[in-house]
Amino acid sequence: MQGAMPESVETRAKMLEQWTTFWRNRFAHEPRSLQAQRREAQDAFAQLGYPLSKNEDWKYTKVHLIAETSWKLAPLAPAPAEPNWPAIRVLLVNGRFVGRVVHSPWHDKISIWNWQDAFQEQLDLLEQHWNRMARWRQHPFAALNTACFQDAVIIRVFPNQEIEAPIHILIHHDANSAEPQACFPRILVCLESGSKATLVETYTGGGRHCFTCGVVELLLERGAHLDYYKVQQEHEQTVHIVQAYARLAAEAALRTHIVSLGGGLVRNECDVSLVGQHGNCTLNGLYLARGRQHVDNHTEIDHVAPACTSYELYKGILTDHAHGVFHGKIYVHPGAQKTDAKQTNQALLLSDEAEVDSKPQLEIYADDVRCTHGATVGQLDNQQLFYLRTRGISMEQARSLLIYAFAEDIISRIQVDPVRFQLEDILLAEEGLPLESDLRKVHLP
Amino acid sequence: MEPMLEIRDLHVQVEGKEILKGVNLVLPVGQVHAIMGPNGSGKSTLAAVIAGREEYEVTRGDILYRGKSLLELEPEERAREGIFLAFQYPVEIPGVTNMYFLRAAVNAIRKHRGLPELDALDFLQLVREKLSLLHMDESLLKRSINEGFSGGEKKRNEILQMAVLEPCLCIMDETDSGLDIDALRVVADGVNSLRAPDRSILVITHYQRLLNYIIPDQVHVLLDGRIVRSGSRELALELESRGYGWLEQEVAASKL
Ligand SMILES: Nc1ncnc2c1ncn2[C@@H]1O[C@H](COP(=O)(O)OP(=O)(O)OP(=O)(O)O)[C@@H](O)[C@H]1O
Ligand SMILES: [Mg+2]
Repeated sequence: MQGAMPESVETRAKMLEQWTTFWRNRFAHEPRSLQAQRREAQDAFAQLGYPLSKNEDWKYTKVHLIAETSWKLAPLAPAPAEPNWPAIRVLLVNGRFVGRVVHSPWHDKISIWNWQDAFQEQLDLLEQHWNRMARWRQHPFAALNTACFQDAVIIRVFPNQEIEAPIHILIHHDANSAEPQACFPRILVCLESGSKATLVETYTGGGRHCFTCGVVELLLERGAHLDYYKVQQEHEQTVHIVQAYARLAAEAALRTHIVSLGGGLVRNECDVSLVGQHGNCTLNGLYLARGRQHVDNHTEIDHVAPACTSYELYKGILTDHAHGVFHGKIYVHPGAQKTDAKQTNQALLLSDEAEVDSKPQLEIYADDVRCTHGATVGQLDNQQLFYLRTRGISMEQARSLLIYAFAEDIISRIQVDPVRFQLEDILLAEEGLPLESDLRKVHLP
Repeated sequence: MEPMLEIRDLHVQVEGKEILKGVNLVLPVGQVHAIMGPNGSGKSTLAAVIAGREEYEVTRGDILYRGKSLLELEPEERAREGIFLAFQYPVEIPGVTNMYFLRAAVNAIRKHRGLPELDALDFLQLVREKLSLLHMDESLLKRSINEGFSGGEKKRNEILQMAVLEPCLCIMDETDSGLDIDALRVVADGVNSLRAPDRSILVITHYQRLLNYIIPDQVHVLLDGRIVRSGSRELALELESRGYGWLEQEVAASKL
C-alpha cells in the first residue's frame, strides 16, 4: 500500500468533473428544501475531497483507489432471491427500493416508504429528521452519499409500539456492468418515543470494481429501543464504506452488531450521540478478514448528556495478509457527568503477515466519569489447545474450534435466531467444523 | 500381560529446570494406583507429560503405554489410543458448548476406533446416561466448556468426559480437591463404575479420604521429582497422620 500521497490538483479536478456531470439536472423533481441539501452536500464534497492525506481519521485506510477510479452509477437491476425467514422485508438493489413492503399485521405500528413516497407524503418528517444525524458537512463519503443517493428506505415506528418481527433491509449490489459502479444505499429509521424494534441490514452482491457507499441514520426518541444488525457479506473485492449515525434521546437504548465477512476495502462507521440522560448503547462488532481484505471499524461515541452508558466490544480474526483497523473515539462533553464508557477491542492474528492497528481516542471534559479502554492482539491459547487435544480432537480442529469460539462471543449476542444460526453455520463451515444444525434441534431444558 | 503404563527413568525439564528426576512406575492392567506427594513435587507434571503436553521436555527415559513408547505421539493420538487426563485445573473455553465439544471428542475417538459417528440423538442418549451417573444437570451441556462452572462442577465435568470417552488409562489429577463431601462420594461412585478389568486408573491426590472410596492397589509417593516409596493403601494412612517430613529425612539419609 502506498504511503500518504499528497492530493494532487488533477485528482481533485477529475473527481469533481466526474461527479458534477452526474449531478446535473438529476434531482429536479425533488422538493426544493431537499434539493438544497443535495447542493450543499455537493459543495461540501467538492470542498472536502477524498480523504487522501494527513487526515487522522483515515490514517490506516487509504482510499486512493476510490479516488483514481471513474465510477458510474450502478444500473437498475433485478431483485435477488429473498431468504425465507420471517421478517418485514425491504429490498434495496443498487440503491433503489424494489417492490412493495408487505407487513399487513403491523401497519398501524410502522410505516415504510421509499424516497419518492416519503417526500410526497411525509415531507414534514423529512424536513425534521432527514440528513440531521449524518455528518455530511465533515465527512466526504457521507457528503457523496447525500449528493448522489437515488432512493432511500424511510421507516417510522409509532410511539409505544413494539415490532416483534425483525425489519430486514436486504441491500444488494448487483454487479452487472463491466465498468466500475457505485451505489448509494440510504436509510432513515425513526423510532418514536417508547417504541421498540429490531433492524437487520444485510449487504450482499458486489464484485470487482463495485463501490457501496451508504449512509444509515437511526433516530431513537425518548425510551425507544433498537437492536441493529449489520451483516456484510459482499464479494471480497467490493469497496464498502458505510456510515451509521444514531442519536439517542433520554432513556433510549441501542444495541448494534456489525459483522463484516466480505468486502475488499471495508469501512464501517458507527457514530452514536447520547443527547438525553440515561441513554445507553452497546456496540458489538466482529470481522473476519483474509487474503488482502482491509477492514476498518470506526466508532465515535458522543456523550453529550449525563448518566449515559456506552459499551463497545469489537473482535477481529485475521489471516493471510489481511489488515484490520479499529479506531474508537469517545468524547465526553463537559456536562456529561456520570458517564460510563467502556471500549474493548480484541484481535486474533493467525498469520505473521496479518496486521491490526488499534487506536483508542478518549477525550474527556467531565470529571465524574468512568471511561476505560483496552486492546489486545493475540494468538490462540496453548492451554485451551492442549485441553481440546487431550480429548482426541486434532490440532487442526482444536484451532478451528477456538477461532469459532472467539467469534461466537459476539455471534451469541445476536438475538435474531435465523441470523445467528446462519452466521454460526458460515463460521463452522469456514473452519471446516461439523455444523451445529442437528444439535440445535435437540431440546434441552 | 504387558502393563497398561510403564514409566522408565523419566527425566523432564521445563524452561531449563529439571522437574522429574528419574521416575519409575508400573501400572498393571485393571489396577488402580495412587500418587501422593507434597506441593510442587511434580505430580501434575507427570500427568501432563503422559498426556503429551509439549512444553515439558523429556530429556531421558521413556513412557510405555501397552508396551509402546508414547513419546512420539501427539496429545490427540494418545487420547484416541485411550489415555485420558482429568485436569487439576480444567480449562475454560468460552464460546464452545460442552455439548458440541463432547460430541466432537466422542466422534474423533470413535472414528479412530473404526466406529460410525454418533448423531445428535444417539449422542444425547449416551450423555444423559452418564450425566445421571454423576448427578449432573443437563443444562450444563448448553453452557460453554467450564465457563463459570463452580470448582466442583468443573471436576465433575472432567469425570463426565471420562465416562463418555471410555478410556483405557484414566489419570485423575486432584479430582477430589474442591469437592464437598457429597460430591466426592458421587464422583468416586462414578469412577468406581468405570473400574474394569481392562482399564487402569492413576489417582493423584493429597487426601487419603478419596482412597477410602476409590481403593487403590498401590500407593506411590512422589518427592522432588522421584518416586521414593511405593506400598499398599496403608501408606496413604501413614502419610495422612505423619506428613512427608519423615520420608524426606529417610530419603536424605539413604543418599549419604
Ligand atoms: N510451565 C512451567 N514453568 C515453570 N515451572 C513449572 C511449570 N510447570 C511446573 N513448574 C514447576 O514444576 C514444579 C512441579 O509442579 P507440579 O505442578 O508438577 O507440582 P504438583 O506436584 O502437581 O503440585 P500440587 O500438589 O501443588 O499440584 C513446581 O515447582 C512448578 O512451579
Ligand atoms: Mg498438581
